Amino acid sequence: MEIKEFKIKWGMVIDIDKCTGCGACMVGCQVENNIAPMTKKDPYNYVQALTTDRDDAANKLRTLTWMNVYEMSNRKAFPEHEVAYLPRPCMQCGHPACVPVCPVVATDKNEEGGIVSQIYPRCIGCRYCMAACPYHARYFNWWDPLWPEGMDKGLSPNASVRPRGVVEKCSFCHSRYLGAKDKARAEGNDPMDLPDGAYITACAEICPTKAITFGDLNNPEHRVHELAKGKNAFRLLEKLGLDPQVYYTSEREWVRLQGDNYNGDGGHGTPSNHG
Amino acid sequence: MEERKSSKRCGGVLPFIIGFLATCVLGWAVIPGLFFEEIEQPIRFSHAIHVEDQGMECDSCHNFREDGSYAGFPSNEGCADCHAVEAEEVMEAIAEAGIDPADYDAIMKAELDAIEGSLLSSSDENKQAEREYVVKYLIQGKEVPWLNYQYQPDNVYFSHQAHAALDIAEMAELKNELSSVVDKSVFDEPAEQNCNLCHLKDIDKSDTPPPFERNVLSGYSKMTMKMWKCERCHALKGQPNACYTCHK
Amino acid sequence: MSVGATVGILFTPTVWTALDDVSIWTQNWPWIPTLKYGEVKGVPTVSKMCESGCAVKVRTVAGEAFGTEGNVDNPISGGGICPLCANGVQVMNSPTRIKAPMLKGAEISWDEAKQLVTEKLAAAGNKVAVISGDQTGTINEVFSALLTSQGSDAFYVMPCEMQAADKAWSGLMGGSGQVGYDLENADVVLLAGADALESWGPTVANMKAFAANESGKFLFAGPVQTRTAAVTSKWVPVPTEGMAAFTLGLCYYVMQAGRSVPAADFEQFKAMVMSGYTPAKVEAATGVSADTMADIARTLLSASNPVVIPSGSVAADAAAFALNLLLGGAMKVLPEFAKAIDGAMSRSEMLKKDILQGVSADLLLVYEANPAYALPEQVKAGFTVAFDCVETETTAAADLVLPTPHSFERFDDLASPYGLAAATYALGAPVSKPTVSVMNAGDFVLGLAALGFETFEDVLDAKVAAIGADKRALVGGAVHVLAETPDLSGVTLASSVLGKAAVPVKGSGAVALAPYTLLNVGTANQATTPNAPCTISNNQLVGDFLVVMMASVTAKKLGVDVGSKVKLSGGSGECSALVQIYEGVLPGVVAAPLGLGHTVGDEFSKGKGDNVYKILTVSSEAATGTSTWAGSTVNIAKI
Repeated sequence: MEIKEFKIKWGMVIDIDKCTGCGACMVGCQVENNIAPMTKKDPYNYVQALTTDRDDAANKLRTLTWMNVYEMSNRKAFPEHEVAYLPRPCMQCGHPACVPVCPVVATDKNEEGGIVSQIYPRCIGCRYCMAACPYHARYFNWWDPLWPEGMDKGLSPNASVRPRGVVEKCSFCHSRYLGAKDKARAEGNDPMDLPDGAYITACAEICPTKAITFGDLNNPEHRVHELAKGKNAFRLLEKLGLDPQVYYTSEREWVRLQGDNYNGDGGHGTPSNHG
Repeated sequence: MEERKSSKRCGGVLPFIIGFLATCVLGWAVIPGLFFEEIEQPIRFSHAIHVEDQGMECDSCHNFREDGSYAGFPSNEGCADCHAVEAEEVMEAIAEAGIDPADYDAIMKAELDAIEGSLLSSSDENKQAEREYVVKYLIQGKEVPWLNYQYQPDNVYFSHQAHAALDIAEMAELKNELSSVVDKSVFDEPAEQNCNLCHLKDIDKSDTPPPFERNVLSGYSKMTMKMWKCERCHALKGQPNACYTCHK
Repeated sequence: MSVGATVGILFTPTVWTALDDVSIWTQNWPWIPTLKYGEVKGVPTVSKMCESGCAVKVRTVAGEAFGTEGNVDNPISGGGICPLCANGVQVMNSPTRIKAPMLKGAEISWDEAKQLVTEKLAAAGNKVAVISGDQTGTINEVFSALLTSQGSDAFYVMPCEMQAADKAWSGLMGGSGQVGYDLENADVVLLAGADALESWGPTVANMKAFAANESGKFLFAGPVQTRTAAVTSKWVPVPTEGMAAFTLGLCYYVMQAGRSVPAADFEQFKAMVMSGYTPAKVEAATGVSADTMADIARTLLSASNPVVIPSGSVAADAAAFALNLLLGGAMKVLPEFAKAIDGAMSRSEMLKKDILQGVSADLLLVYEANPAYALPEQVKAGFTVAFDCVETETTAAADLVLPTPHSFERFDDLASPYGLAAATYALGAPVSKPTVSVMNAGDFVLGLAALGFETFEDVLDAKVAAIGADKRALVGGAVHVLAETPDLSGVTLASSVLGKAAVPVKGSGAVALAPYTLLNVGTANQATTPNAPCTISNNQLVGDFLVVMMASVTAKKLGVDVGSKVKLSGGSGECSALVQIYEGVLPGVVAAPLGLGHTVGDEFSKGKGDNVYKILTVSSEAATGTSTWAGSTVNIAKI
């Protein structure tokens, strides 16, 4: 299988040395994409009340965190200990593991821009894609979304609300891409040649330290183009050969080594090409 | 047991054919209609009065915003440009007349001056439609819940801006390939608006908006354009048919 | 015939379209909310969700608010927002909004409420007090003017950095105005305990400055390797109670290198530091080695625009101001904005009273603060009126509860949050219409006494006029900045007091307690927001249990390990928690997150974890005469 090449390749460069792990990107992502807060009780569903409670946010295996911040540690004892935070959206892989395993083609990488799409009405909820994704970037709706009374009158128009039983994942705020193209058309510009900043994801826009930079990796006028080629830039799990479109950069070597699951006892894998 | 008594037992081919033809006729002519229920628009809005009589342009109400999004249904703000009414004044008048502010019928029957003064129509029927709009929506600060003939569910993203440059004359060249998507009659007369490719033709001349035909099973409109229609035209015009082109 | 019919029906569209429609029906369950469409706008306004306040843009569709974003053009935000504001609309639409005035649990009308409070006010005379949770708004002028008209000066703020800094600067050092720090243009920034990139001061403005300051070197000193320390170039482990000594220890090196300050008591100060805060003595008191101190001092001395940002006790603040004056770097002093109401208190006057010493009044007005949660023992009043937007422990305990509109539903302003480099004023207009029966607290209070204004909007207009700003521009998201600097000639280095005050004082418990605040977990006034719980890591909360962190060395000494259930006793109470081993905590110290353990609130914050405010010990800083939580200790027992 070849890696699909597109003229435009939306990607991110995340500066780990700027991420404080505040979580604003996680909250902003949920608000932008209509992810309901996790509620334990469902006052409308009497059948539910007879069985188990729903899950609340304490169960991290059930939370829908399309953007998830991980805490990294250099695993040394006090006082040599160092901590770092790593925000992880969907990698929008160039050679995705999730696309070939979907039995109903609910997910595909076929749009100019390289964003891996996830179409909710088509998804049957088999979760093969979740098993395939090594970044754990895909999430399953174990429960119907349930907002506390009155909180769902203010929903974002940018993402449809998913029922239970479908898989969802970060879409690089794709509706914003469509909106940016419309704006370009309205102004008489080429929608396929957006300037840097015309289309930005919610997490990149919200980040108070501007740790997340978003743009077209193929376009030399976008900042990510140079940042992704920086000497400290790396990608997660490079050796799997999935060609992710999200790059990270850190001046700290231990952070870079952990990015490829370095075991500390010698050598990390070299990128290989699958079949 | 060699004699086959089958033909005597099942009565022959005739009942089969009768049954077959009967259901074919029913299935094509009658049953499809049963899938839909007709719902009237909340207000009897007359395009004819506004376009012909008042000489308004289409884009006075249906226009593109600065950011490229399309304002399809005008909001009360737009209507209030002409149908202006002081909501507080009217509420006071209702209170003075001793009418329950929730009893819309009584308010309309009372023909209060504060409301009557703002009505712009001449005929009684039209006045009543206007009165309904003012009482039920304008003074309540509620937007009219217009029923969208071209209803699309939330997972669909349709961009009017992307289709604004479609030239209907050019499209006419493809009218045979597009016959399942767009009725050929759309291209007949000198077709001006490319809106007619998808929207009801001659709606700007109608005095009464046609009823909204709602599918009883799915809730969609009869005119809701299904995915294959969009894909067909995209394919013919060389536009992408990637999932995310239209979904969100 | 039926066979024919069956076959026939298959040749019609009936079955196939019915199947198609049914499949669509399975995708559109009626209980799944549908979206609203319309014009999308970003409306600028001011947000008071955290103590500093911030400038945001509320995103609306067809007039209905759905989310927030930063305001790129506003220097307070620079385009970013913190996790609290990111969820602002959801808090605004929460079912825990207070729906109407409540007297002892029963709903009453606004007129009845006004009458009642007017009576109570008349009866209380000058035994009326105010606790305000808003550090920066002109609402404080309204409340303080009410107090002065009653002959009372009992204006309290919740314990905050702004207060400690003011007590140090104007109380001890004779300065005027408010101290600020130019993080963006400093080349070396020493955060002496200030968790500036997580929860100290105007967090988003700090983070924006940090992001813009590509070449600056940031150092963090404190007992816990906080999130700020994740991005600074160095973490210097310093216990909270030793921060003042640490800072004076740096002054030692700086003065040894020849720096001085034209202050009246400079010689006294120098003598005090050179004898009492030598590297050896500081190492003994704080555990920071002389080499580390020398290294940091060298970095500060070779910088052209360094700044030291303190946190914690008044002594630590004063020491840091002294160090900044010696270094002559990016510490700024901001003038105060002109008042709108004549009888109002100045900011310094408002910050004078020490709430940790206790409050006692006949009539207590609490404005958007939660003392019942964050100060469990100290507040006593005959009759309490609580103004707030959502249900809290304080509103549950109050006699009269008056709902205020949410930040996005009201006119509000923001004047110089503590920490900003320039005197900055921002104003916000309402974005959404409230759906419950609320009244702006300012409007209510103006109706109680003749303060010269009818509505709070009038007060804000007067404020804008007094400071010479343009209301239109402010409402559009701009800020008004004052460039002047107050006169620094009378400033002293508080030498007589600082020497004694900087001596570290610890409680009697076995383990030192380092409480820390994370915005996504919640602050003293704002509990965690609906979408935030999934961002809370298992270093703070596991299931419904509070988690405390300690280094493996500490754990071994206490005989606990990861997951051990422990009881921490200190202050006036105890907390139960699970142990987490985290090497970023000073040995002998246990780090515990503040903001959990709510007993009133929505399902996302109630019953999660335990309230660490219960176990903080209030000690009196002997020399400065102020109360502090620094030096809190606890005893840890395995359960």
